[in-house]
Amino acid sequence: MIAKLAFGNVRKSLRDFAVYFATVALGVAVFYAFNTIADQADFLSGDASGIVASIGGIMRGLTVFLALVLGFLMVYANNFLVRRRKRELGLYQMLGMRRSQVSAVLALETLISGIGAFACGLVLGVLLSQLLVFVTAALFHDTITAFSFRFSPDAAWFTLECFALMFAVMLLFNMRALRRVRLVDLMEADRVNEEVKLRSLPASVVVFLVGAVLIGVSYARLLHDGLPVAGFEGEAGRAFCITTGMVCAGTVAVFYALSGFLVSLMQRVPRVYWRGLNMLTLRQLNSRVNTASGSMAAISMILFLAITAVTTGVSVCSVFTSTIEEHNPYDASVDVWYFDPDSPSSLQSLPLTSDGQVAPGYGASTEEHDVVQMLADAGYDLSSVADYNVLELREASGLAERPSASFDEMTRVTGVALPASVVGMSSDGGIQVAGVSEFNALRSFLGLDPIELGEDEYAMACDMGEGLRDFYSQVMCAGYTVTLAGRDLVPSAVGVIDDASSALSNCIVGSNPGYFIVPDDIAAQAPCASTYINVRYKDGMSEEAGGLMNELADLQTGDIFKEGQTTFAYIGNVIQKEESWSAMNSMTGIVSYMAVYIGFVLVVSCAAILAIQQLCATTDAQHSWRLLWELGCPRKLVYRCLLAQTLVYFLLPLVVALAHSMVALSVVRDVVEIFGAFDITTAAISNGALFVAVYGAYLFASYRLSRGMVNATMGSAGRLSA
Amino acid sequence: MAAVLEVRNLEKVYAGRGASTRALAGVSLSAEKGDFVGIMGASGSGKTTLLNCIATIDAPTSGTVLINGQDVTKLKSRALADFRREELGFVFQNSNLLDTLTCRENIALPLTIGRVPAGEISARIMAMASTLGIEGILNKFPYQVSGGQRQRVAAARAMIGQPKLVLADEPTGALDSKNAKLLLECFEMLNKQLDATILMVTHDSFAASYCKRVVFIRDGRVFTEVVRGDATRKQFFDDIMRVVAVIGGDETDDR
Repeated sequence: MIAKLAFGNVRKSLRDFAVYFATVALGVAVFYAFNTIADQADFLSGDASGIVASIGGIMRGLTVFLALVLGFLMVYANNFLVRRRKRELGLYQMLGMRRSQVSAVLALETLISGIGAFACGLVLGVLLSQLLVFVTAALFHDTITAFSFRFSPDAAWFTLECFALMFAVMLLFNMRALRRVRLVDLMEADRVNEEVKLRSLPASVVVFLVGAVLIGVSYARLLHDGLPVAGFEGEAGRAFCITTGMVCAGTVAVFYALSGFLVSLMQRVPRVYWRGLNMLTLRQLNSRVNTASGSMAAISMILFLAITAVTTGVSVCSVFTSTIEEHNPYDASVDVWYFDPDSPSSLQSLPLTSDGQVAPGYGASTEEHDVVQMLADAGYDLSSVADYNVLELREASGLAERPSASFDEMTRVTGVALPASVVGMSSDGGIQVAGVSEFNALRSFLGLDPIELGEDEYAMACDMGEGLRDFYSQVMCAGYTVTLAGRDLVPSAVGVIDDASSALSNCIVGSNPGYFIVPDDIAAQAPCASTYINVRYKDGMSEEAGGLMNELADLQTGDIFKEGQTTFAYIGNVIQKEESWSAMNSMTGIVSYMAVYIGFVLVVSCAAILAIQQLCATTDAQHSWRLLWELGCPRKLVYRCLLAQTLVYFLLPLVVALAHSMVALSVVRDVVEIFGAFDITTAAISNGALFVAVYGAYLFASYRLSRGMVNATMGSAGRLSA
Repeated sequence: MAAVLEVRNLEKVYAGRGASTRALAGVSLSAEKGDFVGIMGASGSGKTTLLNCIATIDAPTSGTVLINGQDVTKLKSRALADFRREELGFVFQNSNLLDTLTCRENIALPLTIGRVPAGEISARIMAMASTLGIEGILNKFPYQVSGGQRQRVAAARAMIGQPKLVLADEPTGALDSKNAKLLLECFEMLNKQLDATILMVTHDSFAASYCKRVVFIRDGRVFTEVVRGDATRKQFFDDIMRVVAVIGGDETDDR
């Protein structure tokens, strides 16, 4: 009997369940598909296979997080559906069913719809995962080595666990909702004139304006202050927290009062308000948004986070992909960093080496050393397997009483503001210098023309983004003079160099925050801070050379560079081009997957909540639609009223989220600009289009479904009084 | 005087599985302008089916319904909507006001749907509200006012479009006797002052006694008709009670 009831109910409320069912099925499909990524490693060759396997672990962790989000939204949606059936549940109890039996009906319904959705979702997920194999391969620029149709019991089991847990929690909430209500309330839930929680219109206007002002001020604050790059402690961090609080409060206030505000506003225009069903549209929205304002604000904030996170991630990745070639002009590069063993300050707060000694810190050596020769003496002969170039960066601070080669001095003298991307960096640190002939040697090593530099001139090189480059350009245009070793150097017409020669060494992102190119005799007087050995493998020697690089990478703090008993330098970084590429690939892969995964689940959850609320509101207002029909209202008017409500209901949170995102992204852009030109327009738009399509599909579906419902209510000629 | 309503040989058969129910078995009745007709009958006698067929929200199996000379059984669905809006007014048992609209907006609904200019709407509502004594509650929501006031708002909504015919289905059904009396007096006044034609279904003899004549329906047929004429309301009530006693005491018992 109970089973019969439960089956009947599921079938009867198929339309209410449809959206919910589809969302759960989509959730299952996506969870399964993304959790098979680890298994896809088998299809791929070598390098990519390892990366993909590691992505699998991340996906699993992410799935747990997303299951929490989706679970919360499912519980909410289900609660909503059950609350609407108060009368029916009351009737069961009136007819003598025990509460436990009613609970059993509910549990069984949940189970039936859950199993159905899980089965559908799994089928969809299996298909999706086959597709995902090709996407993975494309992402890692790899070819599929051994493709076969396959099913991953592991991923399926994990997905099942997640959803079983969700259903259990959902059931618990249902039981609680059922236990808390009295029978008389259940039966009267359907009484004719429902008390509508309405807020006074003048108050709405005030609250709305306050909310709008709060949002506006927080926008202005954020745009002015920027992101707290230095962390959440301190003045900037506190200011950021206040701004965040303001925007949250403002969003809630706006949603809380918007519909009331709109009603007040439209009442001022009688020709619009008293026309067709306009007043009904506004009033119905008002009554709904009043009760749903909390969830709408939450949905808006979730959408905002999803849009911002996904756009930032995808855009940063697209920057990496587009600039990796110019940031990695060499087959490999070896950085040698000097330090000053006599200066205790440079030894503070440094990492310990494996043998427990304090690792050396940055410093400079006044002695000239041929580090390549020293490597060769230690048995690592670069010249046998590769061509190389050596560039030495020198500390300029010792060449002047007060260092004119520093950010602080530059901004103080010229008044040019530092770009947001470096505001958090230590701005008192000096800017280093390199001799012009070494720099020209590097350029000819790269096949570039040398630069011309006068006796008393300087140029600059920098590859960390437009913001920083423009800063230097402006400083140089302002005629900024650098005083080194008693000589005044003026800006050269060469300006700021940002081509391949500006990269210090191989790196995923830019490696050079900027240095001065000065006449050789000045450079020679400065102590050496670091040496960059950039290497091009000889033909046919790439395997040997690569092996040598691996050995060097393992050395790190080894004591090759010695002067007497004192070690004066160590190998800081050894980066081969392939390593950069594979690091970039794995990062792009992870971010792309995470972006799609997080974005999709969040968007679907939000859209599902809105759709279910919309459908329930339509059902709840059934007697209104019926009455309109009896009063002789043309269907076209009712459809228009329904469409307007659906549009406002779906688009409002999205519009607010987009506005928030646009402001946030413009600030984020300033910070991540250091990686290169931040371009939202490419990959992010394709992602955005996907999400808008999903969101739009939910919008369209809920409009069509509620239109069908209204049609059924209006068309059937039944009893006159409802 | 031309008949506002002319019902001829109306039949309605509800075809069920196997057995079919004959709700109306050839009902004929007519009403002229300014008439106030009561329709009485036991539960299941077919009085509500009759009203629904006249209201064009149910289609009869056979027979014709002429309202103002027009056969509404021949109208298409879209024309029916326009017809209902322009020619008919409804008052239901449970006032059926929209919860989300204020009383003023509820009354305005037929006018805004019919695209009456905004300036005119306000004036017409005020006039109607003062006739029915509900000026004070116009800006309140239905749940904020009493049941009697709600029914008067519903009556105002039914009358605002100046319909040819007002149909009321058990309008006093959910009211206490004091409020029922108030509402019926409103109907009487609307009938006299505005010359409105009203057709009211009820099974309350007291309510029926406010009508000019009462038609009794039994088993889907017109059983008899009682005309008030110059009799006082009390005398008319006694006439009605006599017929009710003949038909069977059912409906007086179930109240």
